[in-house]
Amino acid sequence: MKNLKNWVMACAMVTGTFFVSNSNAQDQKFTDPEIASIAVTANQIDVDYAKIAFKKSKDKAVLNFAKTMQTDHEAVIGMATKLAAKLHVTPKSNAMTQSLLDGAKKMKADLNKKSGKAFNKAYVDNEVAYHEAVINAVEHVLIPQASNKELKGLLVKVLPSLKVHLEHAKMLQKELK
Amino acid sequence: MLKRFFKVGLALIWVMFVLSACNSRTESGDTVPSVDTASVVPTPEPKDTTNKSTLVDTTKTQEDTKQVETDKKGKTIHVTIEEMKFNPETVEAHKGDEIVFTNKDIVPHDITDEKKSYKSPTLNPDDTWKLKVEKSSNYYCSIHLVMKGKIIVK
Repeated sequence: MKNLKNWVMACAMVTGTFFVSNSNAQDQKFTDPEIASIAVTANQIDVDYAKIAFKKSKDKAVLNFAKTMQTDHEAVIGMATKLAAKLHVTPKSNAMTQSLLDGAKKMKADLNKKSGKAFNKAYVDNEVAYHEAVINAVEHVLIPQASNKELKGLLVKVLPSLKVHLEHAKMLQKELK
Repeated sequence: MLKRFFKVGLALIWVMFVLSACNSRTESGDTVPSVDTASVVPTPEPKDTTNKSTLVDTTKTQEDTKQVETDKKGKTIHVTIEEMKFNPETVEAHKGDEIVFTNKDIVPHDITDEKKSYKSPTLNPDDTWKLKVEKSSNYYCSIHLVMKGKIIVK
């Protein structure tokens, strides 16, 4: 358990996103409206990274990956928003949402400074680290803490697609070396 | 008196003749109206071994005909795309079979042959796409490159 916590913190440091202001994310308790907010924000951030890739990259494989990230994460945002409306839940901003947004702001600035191969590498490296951190948060924080069955079900359904994104990103990472 | 006796005697003889004729038909079992025997499938006698053999042959022929029809039409095999996997990942089929892909995932997918001989349109959640099997192939999802499947033609 301690190793897992350390690993989550390591991911947070790499991505500059998760749990920055929290010494122990897994001990934090989130309500369903907060979990909905985290889920929507995390997906939106990856859509925003993809949009930067569309502007900066000319690599066909990188652009294909970015297109997949945009399509899939927008689909999840759509489902989460629909579910929140159905359950009459208003996503509520919280410390984790804020740390996600702060980390994304920094990462977007870094990506926007790069171009060519350096951009492709930075974008794909971040996708690997970001998905590793998100998968861990979904598996070990969000799913266990979600109290509504449908919200929990949506998070469970999203998990395999995040894992496939991670595999895809790792495959690209090898190709770009 | 003689005339009356003669008439009764003739009547009795006629009645006996008719009864005799009816009796002989009942014994031979020929009580049903005659029909064209060529249009009727013979009913086998269980004790008659010759007829038994005919029955087996007839059934076999019918089964063979059915088999040919099945082969002509081909089977329908279902592949579900769920949890970012093709399920089953490997399908064994015959040429002419049809594979129906159904996307049960929450994100879009497609089915793309590695040798580009076929490619489905993008399948949104709950969409289906049919593929007529021609030859063995390896396929993948061009949206999620790590998702792969295989068709083996027997």
